[in-house]
Amino acid sequence: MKTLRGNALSGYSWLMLVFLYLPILILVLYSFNDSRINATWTGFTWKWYVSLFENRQVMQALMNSLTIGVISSVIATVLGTAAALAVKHYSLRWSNIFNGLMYLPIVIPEIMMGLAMLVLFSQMQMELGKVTLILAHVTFSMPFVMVIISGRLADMGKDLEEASQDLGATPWETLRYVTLPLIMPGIIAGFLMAFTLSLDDFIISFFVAGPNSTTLPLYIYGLVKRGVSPEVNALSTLLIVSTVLLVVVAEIFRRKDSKNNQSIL
Amino acid sequence: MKKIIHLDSIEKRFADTVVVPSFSLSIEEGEFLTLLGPSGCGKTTLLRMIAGFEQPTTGEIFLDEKPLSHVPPYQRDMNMVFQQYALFPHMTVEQNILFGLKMKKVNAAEQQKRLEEVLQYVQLTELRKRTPKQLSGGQQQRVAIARAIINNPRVLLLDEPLGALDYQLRKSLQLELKNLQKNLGITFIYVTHDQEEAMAMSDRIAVMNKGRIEQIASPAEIYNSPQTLFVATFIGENNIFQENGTNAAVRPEKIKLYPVDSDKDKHKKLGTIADAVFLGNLRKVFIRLEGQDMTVMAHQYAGDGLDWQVGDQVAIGWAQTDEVILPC
Ligand SMILES: Nc1ncnc2c1ncn2[C@@H]1O[C@H](COP(=O)(O)OP(=O)(O)O)[C@@H](O)[C@H]1O
Ligand SMILES: [Mg+2]
Repeated sequence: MKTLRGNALSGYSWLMLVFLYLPILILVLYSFNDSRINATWTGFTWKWYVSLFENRQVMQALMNSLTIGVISSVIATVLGTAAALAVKHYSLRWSNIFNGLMYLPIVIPEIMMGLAMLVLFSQMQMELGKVTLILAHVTFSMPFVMVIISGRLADMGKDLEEASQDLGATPWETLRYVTLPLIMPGIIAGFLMAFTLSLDDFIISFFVAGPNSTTLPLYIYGLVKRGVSPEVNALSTLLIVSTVLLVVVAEIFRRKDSKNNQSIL
Repeated sequence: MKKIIHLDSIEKRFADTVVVPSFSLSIEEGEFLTLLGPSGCGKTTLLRMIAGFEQPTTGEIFLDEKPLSHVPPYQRDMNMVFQQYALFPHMTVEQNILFGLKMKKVNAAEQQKRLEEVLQYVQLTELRKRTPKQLSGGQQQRVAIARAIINNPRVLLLDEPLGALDYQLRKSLQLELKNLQKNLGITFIYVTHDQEEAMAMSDRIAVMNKGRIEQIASPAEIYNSPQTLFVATFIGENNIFQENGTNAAVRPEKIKLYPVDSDKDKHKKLGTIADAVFLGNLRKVFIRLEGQDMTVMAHQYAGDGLDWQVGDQVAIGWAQTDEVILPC
């Protein structure tokens, strides 16, 4: 009876996994398919990947994605860290409200965020392009950075910072010699997370991108409108693989024991 | 002796609850003062106010006659040993200990000289390159002390520094700390909820109850002449006899037991032995009083001849001078 239920349960779990990953698996599989038509398998090939790297438009989109990703996640990490530190240290009456407002963008539908930012940028008569993309990406990734770093700060408690001050360190010295080294894994995790979000984003980017700032997801969308080609599959596969890798590394950093973080310093 | 710290009618409220009601206290240079009280009575809060991590709601704290309310913690010439040590996990023992001197921009040669001295003193020389995680609780405790005393502070604040250690280690470190304090001549303000520890180490004990200081005196005076019911019962064991509006406290070792038919002039109360607990050097005897809902405890030492059994009828008595009258 027990094993029967166990089997049924594990069968169900497997079904869930298949349901979740089958589409991605098929996409990855067909990126190695020799045939241009998706439906039939004719043999293994790398040629779609090779042709991607020879395609100037793809390379341009990749460059755009990387530039926007790096710049926006650096800014988001700095601002997110500062916000997390501020919320911790100024535990004023309104810090809860501030906290809530910081996290709200995480749950607001992306399409609303995109639309709102488009409206804002055109009100301010800003030309859509890399700058607007960077601003938008900072906006949606900063709360995630803040969540990760706030968690880290909460784990750390206030004793260590107080001990530092007690030993004569000014608040700046405390930040530099105690707080920042201890939350560094969180900062790295936050940065990687922000970078991943930026690399992956389609909906918000769709609203605020300009003609010369096509990112990889936007480029893929453009291709798909003309039909799903093996190049699209290959490009998507690369995007998925890099995303998964980044998230895994970010998670490793996020979970790094706060009491044993010599190794990365 | 010279006053080093003076607390002038300080009070601390969190939101609307009064954690430390208004009181004043002077601490003398070079003394070992212990704040003793049960958990949650406001000892840590008081210590944190002195260190500068909390501001008194009203009142002022003086160090060497200078008011401290606008002096941030990093400019106060005192150091704190935290309850959980608060060692920096990303630094070695050596780096932890040197942190204070680095922040004060003491020159490198002086830093090294004092480091060697302190490492010797707390016997950590061999462990200097380890990180706090690689140390036992007792060793971490030494690092915490070393990190504080290397700065030669005017005052050392210690918040239950031995609380996390096991009994044996605690006993031996109590003596070490006491010696350290005597040798260095630093004023210690020591927080504990352990009355034995307070008795063993302090020059003066401030007994706290619900944020109030009930009595400040030497350990002997606290024990022999408690001024309040709380002090009488919190420090050591005591028998409280309520008689026409007053409380009379008599220590168990002052209670004498007599057979009901002898020394009749010394009898104060009659009762029955309810229990006797053997503790090695002494026996604790519990006597149920006749006609009163009260159990008296008496200490019986080996060799005093009388071997009381549960159920025996007994008379108790004590010398009038051993009785401490307390206000209700
Ligand atoms: N930051 C704070 N906010 C609100 N209440 C506090 C705060 N710190 C301490 N308290 C309260 O003050 C009382 C005394 O605490 P504490 O000084 O830590 O006691 P002790 O160290 O004697 O155990 C406790 O009831 C505690 O809940
Ligand atoms: Mg405490």
